[in-house]
Amino acid sequence: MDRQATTQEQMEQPSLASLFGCWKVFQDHLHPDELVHQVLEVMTQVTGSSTASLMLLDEDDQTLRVKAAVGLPQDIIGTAQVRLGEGIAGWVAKNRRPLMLPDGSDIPVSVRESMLGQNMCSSLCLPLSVGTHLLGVVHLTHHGDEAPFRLEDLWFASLLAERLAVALDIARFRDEQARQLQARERFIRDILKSIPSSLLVIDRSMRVVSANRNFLLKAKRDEESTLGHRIEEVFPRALMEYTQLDRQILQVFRSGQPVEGGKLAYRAPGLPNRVYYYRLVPIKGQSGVESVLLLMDDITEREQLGREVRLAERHLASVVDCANDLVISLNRQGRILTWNVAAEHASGLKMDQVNGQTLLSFCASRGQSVMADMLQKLTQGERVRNVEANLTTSDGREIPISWSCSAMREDGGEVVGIVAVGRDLTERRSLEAQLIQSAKMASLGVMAGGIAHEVRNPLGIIAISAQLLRERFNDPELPAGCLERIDKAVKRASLIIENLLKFARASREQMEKVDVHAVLDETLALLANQISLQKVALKKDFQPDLPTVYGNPDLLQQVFANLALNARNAMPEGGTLVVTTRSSRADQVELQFSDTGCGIPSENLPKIFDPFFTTRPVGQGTGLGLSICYSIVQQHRGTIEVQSQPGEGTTVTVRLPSVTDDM
Amino acid sequence: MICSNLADQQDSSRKEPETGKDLPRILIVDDEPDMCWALGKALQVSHYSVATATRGAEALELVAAERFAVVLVDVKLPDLDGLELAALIRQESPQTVVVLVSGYFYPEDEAISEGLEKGLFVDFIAKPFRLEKVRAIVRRSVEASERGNCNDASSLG
Repeated sequence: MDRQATTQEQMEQPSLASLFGCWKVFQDHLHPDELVHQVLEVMTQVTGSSTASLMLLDEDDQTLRVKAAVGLPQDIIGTAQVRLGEGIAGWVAKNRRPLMLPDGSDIPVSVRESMLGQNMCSSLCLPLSVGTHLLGVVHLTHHGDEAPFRLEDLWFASLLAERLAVALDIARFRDEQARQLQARERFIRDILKSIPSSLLVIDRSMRVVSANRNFLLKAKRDEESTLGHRIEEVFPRALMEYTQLDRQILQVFRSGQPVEGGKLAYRAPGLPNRVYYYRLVPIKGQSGVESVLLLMDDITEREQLGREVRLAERHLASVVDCANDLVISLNRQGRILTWNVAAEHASGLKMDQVNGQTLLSFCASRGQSVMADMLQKLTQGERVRNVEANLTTSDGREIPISWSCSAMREDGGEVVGIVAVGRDLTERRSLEAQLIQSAKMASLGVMAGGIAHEVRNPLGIIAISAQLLRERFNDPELPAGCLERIDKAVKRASLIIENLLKFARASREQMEKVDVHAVLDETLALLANQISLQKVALKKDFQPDLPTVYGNPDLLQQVFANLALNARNAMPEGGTLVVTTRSSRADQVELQFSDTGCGIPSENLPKIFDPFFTTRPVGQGTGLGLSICYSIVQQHRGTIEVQSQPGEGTTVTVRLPSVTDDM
Repeated sequence: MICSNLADQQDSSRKEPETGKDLPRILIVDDEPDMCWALGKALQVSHYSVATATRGAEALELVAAERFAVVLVDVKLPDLDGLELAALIRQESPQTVVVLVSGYFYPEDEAISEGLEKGLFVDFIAKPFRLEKVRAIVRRSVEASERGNCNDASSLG
């Protein structure tokens, strides 16, 4: 009321004193709305105006809107508006200069008319601006027959308007800053809210000063029971004890270094247990570490997944490790990645002894080229057949392995590695050897008759020669002739026995370079009697300088004997057996046994290599001969095929790989 | 043809008291030349004139060319079965006595008893053999042949 009185006194004559008096308004740090209202009041009183209004410029639509008014209906506030350039206020705002009517000289008629139209007798309108920036206008009016505004009024109002503009501009700036700060705070709050980790900020007194929504949800707590509470009130005691969380937080305060905490299990009341990974991060201010951030990532699902993956892995590993076969995985370069228990047992080498080495380096030298060739083809995406290559064990032995290999492909089909499954053939080999031996014994039985005759001839010669010698017959040449023939016959009989024994004994295991002709000659010599007894003529058509093959001479002899005896059996009425050898290809030797016998009916052709298939009466054939030939030839990586014309004869062709340089 | 008439050569060189023409002619058929030689020697000692053949066809040629008292036939020949050859010789020269010699058959084999029954051969000698036995059988066979009754010889075995 004091101020009211003071201004009342000075109403008639605005003075410096009244100006200073109202200056206080600005120092009271009023709200801008209040400030504007007060300033308008002062202006009205000091200048004796009927009305006063303040309009602010909205820069977006270049329109002035009433912000405050004195002596006018209050409903115009926020509703009345005028475009820039229209009317008195619009003119002042546009031209940015004060206007005092009716005295103004260079005032457009339209503005003057607008004053008269509103029943004003005098108008004082001032721009509110800071520098070049226009904020709005202040408009004072006299109505009726009041005295018009004076120059003093203009002066007084201008000072006040100028000061008000500055105050409003500062307020606007503050406002803007506050809004920005709020926006930034909201932004940070939103980030904290949406972080899918639990966050807690703890201060030096170990109290929680901030907790994000994720934490509150997961811990089933509210801000009230969390913020301002000590950490040990927020977490269960058991958790605090085993994580030593308080001690760790203190350590972060001391050291200023973050701590990678580790896993912790936390169960909020009524919720299932969850597993978190937690970290402690120092939040540093000007005076060092001001608080510590506790970051908790929920890794329950990840843990669960990890556990399932580990279970699946363990299951797969046990499948592979329980396999009887060797299961080995290789990378594209053929280096060993995994090596199962069966491989360890067979080779005597542990996984760490073979890891990263090539599988080839554990193959016996003879199998390496076949193996390398196969691995190469697999890497190029080609399909391959099983191969046999011996594996060298830790104590230098060789074990026969049949390898079945396949490519591991990525989703895109690119070959990323190779799986090699190896079957130990040792047992099969020994069974095969037994079978081969019994088949051999069976064919020996067939050969026995012929061999007996073969031995009796030289025995007969020896017997006669010895008796002739004893008779001391008067012939000077006779003793020498007898002795010579005894010698010869003994040698022949010995050779027959020797061949017989050689054929009968168990086959040697090793493979060596074999002269096919030598083996054929020996075999056919053993059988010559058998064959010729049946009036079968034997013809040899051997190619000179035939390459050697890599094989087992004992087993090959068995194949040749079987084929020759089969030919003989096919010709009970006699015929011709032609044995041909050819070097059909650079890397292959081809042998043919052609007879002019009864031939094989076409319906039997597919079965002739089956074990126990025989067309001969019980007791005359085991049916094993050809199946064993087949298995022996296969073991030599060769092929055997039969062509037959019933009534005309049969030709059996055996192809064996010849020795090349790399063997 | 490795055919040789040993008897002629030997007789002239050895200057035996008997002349070659008077001695009984024996043909030895065996694919073993050494057997032919040894058996030939043994029979020459016993005063027979010996011819040899290592093949069936060769033997048939000789049998067709002259009359042998006795033919010793081996079962195993490169071109003919001994049993077949016996039959062919009997056909060609019914007076000739055939004796089968073999290391393949046994005396009790069916093929032997069958051949004996049919009269294809009068006796069977299994290898190896004693010279005495061969000589005895040859002697009896020669006698039977000389009597012109080769069937009698079968009773000698």
